[in-house]
Amino acid sequence: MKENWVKKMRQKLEGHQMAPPPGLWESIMQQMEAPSKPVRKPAAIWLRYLAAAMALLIVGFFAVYDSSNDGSDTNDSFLAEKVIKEELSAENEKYDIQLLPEEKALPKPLIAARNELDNIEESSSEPVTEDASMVPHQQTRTQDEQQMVTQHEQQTMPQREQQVSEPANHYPSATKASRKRAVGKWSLGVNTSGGLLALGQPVNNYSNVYISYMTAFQGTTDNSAYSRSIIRSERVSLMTHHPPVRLALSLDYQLNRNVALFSGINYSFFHSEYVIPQENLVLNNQRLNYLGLPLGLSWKLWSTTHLSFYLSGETMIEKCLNREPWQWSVQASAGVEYAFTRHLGIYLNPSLGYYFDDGSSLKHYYKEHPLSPSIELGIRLHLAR
Amino acid sequence: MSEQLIERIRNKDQLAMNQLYREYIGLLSSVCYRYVPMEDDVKDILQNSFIKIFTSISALEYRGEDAFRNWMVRVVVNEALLFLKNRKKLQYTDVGTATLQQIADEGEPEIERLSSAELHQLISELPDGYRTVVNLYVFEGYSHKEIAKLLNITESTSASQLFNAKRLLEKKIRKMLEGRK
Repeated sequence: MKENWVKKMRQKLEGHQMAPPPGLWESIMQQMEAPSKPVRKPAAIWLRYLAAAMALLIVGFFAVYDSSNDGSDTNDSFLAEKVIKEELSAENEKYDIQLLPEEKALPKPLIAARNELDNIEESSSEPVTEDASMVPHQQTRTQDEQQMVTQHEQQTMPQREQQVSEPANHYPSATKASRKRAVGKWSLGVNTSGGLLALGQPVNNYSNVYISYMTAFQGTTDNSAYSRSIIRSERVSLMTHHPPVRLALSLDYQLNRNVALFSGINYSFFHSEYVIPQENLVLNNQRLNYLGLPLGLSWKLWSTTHLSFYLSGETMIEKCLNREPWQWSVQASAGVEYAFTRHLGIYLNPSLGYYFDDGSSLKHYYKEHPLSPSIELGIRLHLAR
Repeated sequence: MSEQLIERIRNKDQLAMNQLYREYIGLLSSVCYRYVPMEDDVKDILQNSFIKIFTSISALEYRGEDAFRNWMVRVVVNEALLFLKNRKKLQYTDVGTATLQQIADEGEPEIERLSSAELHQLISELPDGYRTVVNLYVFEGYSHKEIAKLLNITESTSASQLFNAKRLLEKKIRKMLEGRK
């Protein structure tokens, strides 16, 4: 056929007509009458992968993050545990105490507390005689203890002084980025963070403050038949840092279709407690208030009619209202916003922040957890043009 | 098609748009179905094509009805190719060259004995790669070099696709004609 074949084909189909698909004209008119929307290209594959990777990274971090033990309080904990271990060993040797399986599973401070209570109970209930075999033993122990206590005091008292006398100074931040929808260039957001994390955390975000002291007293009973020897009492005080709670007001300005500049003002509340767990005693509360000024950029990765995914990065300077320190932090987050209407949306921003050392001796949550996750939940109002 | 009608379309006159649509929709539907057999896909392609026609007509310099009609056909063909490239990976099949060569030896079928609807149907039954190359070469008049550039394939691939398409189409035509006897 060759070119002849081609000509025949062309001639045969020249002017050929077919019925259009039903509803075509209506669809065309509907599209023509709709407000002119920019043709939205599907998000590039790599952007989707990036969004998915960010989400996995953040979810993974939250899954493995243990805010109660990030290693930043190892000095205090290590010292306390070491001393307790040594003491337990000595106690066990002396009184032939075997740790029960469940005791082995207990936290060291609690084991120490239990042993201490046992010792006190034994000492107070049993008649203590002037038995010659007992006295040297106790004297030896007292010397050891004295040495240990001195060591403890040297190591822990300064901390105690710091912690008790100084209000905390760090202040976390977690103001998050905002991302905009079409409407106007400005958006206003209100969010809170800290509460979600606090709910899921145990109360053991502590710094160990090891307070040792000697209590010497001579006890006598009514019949004076017994005398009490020196009893050593140790108390382990734990400083419990609760995750800070933050309330933030943010203002976003859309620089272009995908990028927004945001700032705002944040208020953060830090709460720490000094407790003696064995006595269920709260010694002191530390409450700190910070005001922060964030500045950051957010970048919209992908959006559908109601959902938007975005990344943001920010830096924030915060001032402790109770004390001197200024706290500087940087944060990165990946967020999602669900828009109920064109002007109102709810958003969730899981974030990861790093809180730089403020140079002070003040202890608080972010001193123990400089690298810390946060989850912000908020609403965003997209202002009309 | 008059310049006045085009001028009215430029002024967003929906009646004028509808008049243009009714005048050319049969032809453009036929062109579109040759590239993409599925009705839903054709609807999407034609919808996008007419929106482009209506919105870009203001920048068009009118040079007569034939040129205008050819321009609209090109818009539809471009949209169809875009659809094929983006949403449906074009596959350039090989239907056994030996078999096709054997078919070729049987002589040319009588295309003129087919109706235009029958020929259109047989073309639309070709595999995607064959059909696309046949459409571009036979009906749009592109060379293999131009087709290669449009479809991002080599010229030899374009040529072999056309060769195989011809043979397969001859077979289909012959079968259809024999069925009438």
